[in-house]
Amino acid sequence: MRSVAVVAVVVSIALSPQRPAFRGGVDTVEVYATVSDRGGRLVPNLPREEFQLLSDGKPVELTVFSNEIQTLTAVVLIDTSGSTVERLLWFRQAVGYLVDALQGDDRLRIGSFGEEIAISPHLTGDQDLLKRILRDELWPGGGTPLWRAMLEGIYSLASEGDRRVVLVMSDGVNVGGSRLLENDVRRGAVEGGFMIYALSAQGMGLGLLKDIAEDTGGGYLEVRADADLKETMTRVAEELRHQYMLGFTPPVIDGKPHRLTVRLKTSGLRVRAPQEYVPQPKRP
Amino acid sequence: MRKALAGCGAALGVLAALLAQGAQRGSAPVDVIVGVATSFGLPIDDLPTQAFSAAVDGRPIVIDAVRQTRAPLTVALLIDVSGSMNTLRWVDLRRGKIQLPTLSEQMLSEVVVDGFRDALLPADRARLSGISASPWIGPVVAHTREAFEATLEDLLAHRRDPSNVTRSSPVWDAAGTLVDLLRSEPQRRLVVIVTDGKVNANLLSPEKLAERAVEARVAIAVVDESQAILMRQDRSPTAAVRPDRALRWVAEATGGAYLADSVLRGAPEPADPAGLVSRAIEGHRHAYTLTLTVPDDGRPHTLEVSVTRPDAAVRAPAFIHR
Repeated sequence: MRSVAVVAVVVSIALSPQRPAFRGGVDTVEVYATVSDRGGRLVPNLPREEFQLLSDGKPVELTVFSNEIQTLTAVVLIDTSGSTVERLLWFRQAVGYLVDALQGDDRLRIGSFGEEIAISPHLTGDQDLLKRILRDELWPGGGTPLWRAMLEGIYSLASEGDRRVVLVMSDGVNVGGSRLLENDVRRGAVEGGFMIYALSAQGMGLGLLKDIAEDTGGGYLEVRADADLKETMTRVAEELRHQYMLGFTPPVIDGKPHRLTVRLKTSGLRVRAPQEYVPQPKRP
Repeated sequence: MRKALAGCGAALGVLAALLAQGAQRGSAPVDVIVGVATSFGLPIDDLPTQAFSAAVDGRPIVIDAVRQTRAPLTVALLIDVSGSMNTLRWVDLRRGKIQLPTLSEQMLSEVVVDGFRDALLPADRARLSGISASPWIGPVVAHTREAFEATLEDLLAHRRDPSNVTRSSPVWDAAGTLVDLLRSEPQRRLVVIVTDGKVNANLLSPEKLAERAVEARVAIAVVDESQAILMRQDRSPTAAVRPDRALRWVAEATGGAYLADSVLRGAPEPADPAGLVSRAIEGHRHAYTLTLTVPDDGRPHTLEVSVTRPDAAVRAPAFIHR
């Protein structure tokens, strides 16, 4: 799977003039899809024949397929701002359970945003180290630079070759920064093939994070007050690992966004996948 | 008979020498900087050798020598100018309470030009550094007011730099860089950190930093500008977040002073980071040098130093290695 040329990515995030844009080039576009049944349970072992791909409404051939367990490479961004301070320990506990659920080559990076945006330099599967960061590096208070933090999170995984996930734990309320930043997040995630997941507690809401999660083929969840948090986070980790990798040759490589549709032949199943892709020409 | 006894005595002498040599094998002398102060923080610098005792790995050891000199220092002042240090908080001034950033530019100037510069002696070597997302480390600075003001301007430019957009606080990493920089300095080495303790985005843990500092014979003093944060939690009692804990631990582990500023609303004393920086430097200057013989195995060993004077507080590295 790794030998497949990876989808072209252009994520030139407007964080600062010093930040380099990173580009790849490609013959094959690679997207990830999650399939669940009517009850929301994962359906992990569908065969290749089950999937149909459409680019701008026209069928394209599925050239690469995998239903194997995917390694997780993710940045978890925890909202520590004043508006979520009453849930900070809950967030911390939830991420702790996610850390417990890591397996094999899974790697997480932990970040936070409030008074500061702090993205840990450690991208690791070392559970003790991740828990130390959770314990020692989260400070409550401040505003909510949500979009800027998400851009930082995306940027922090830019050089990773694996499937990349940004999991945001927040009420989805951005304070400070331009609305343009929200568009940058959406564009950066779609063009770079990042999957956005958003999670909050019941009653907190998720704001625009829901839309962005859907656009990128990710997901969102408002955890019910009576839910078993450990079980919930274990399920989140399971979902992040059990995704289908679908690859196809784009009809045109023009660096522009194209509509993507993933369909299943079996009725009654729900598929979540990115709704757009951007094929980039290979660099010379 | 006399010859036999003489031969026996010679043999015993050789044996004793061998045993003594054996006892020394694998050991080496190490100098340790130990500060002693009153409960008010005033340095005590007139203690005799016999007033000190030391234990390595819990076992008492002989102190080979104690020296007390006002030694020249190499000092690096590390100021946290990250996002959280710009947050407004209540500060008690002599004429009342007002809201100010944790470290305003005016206070920064007092810390650098008054607190830091005024504590230096001619033979000292000084550097100013700052941390805001990335570290900024200035060159060795001349002791003139103009030179300090120019260096402060460079630090402020770093603080305002838009590329430090996240304004995060990898304080341990910056302190580790300074430890490495000071490692080869011939004088007593000290890093003084001024921070609110909201550290994040570090590669180094506090434990690794302390280990590195002790190995490089660099003490880390902390001027703590933190406040405990109380958080009402949704489904649990109020939780407290204490940024001071790790700061205190790093200072104590490396033999540096831990000085908490009066930053709480209603505190009896006004906030005085400049005065505390000065005190941290003075405290290290007045410290004693103890020479101890410790195992030469390259591993850290716990160290405890105490003095006979009952009202004295002792500051020494929590571990030692050759």
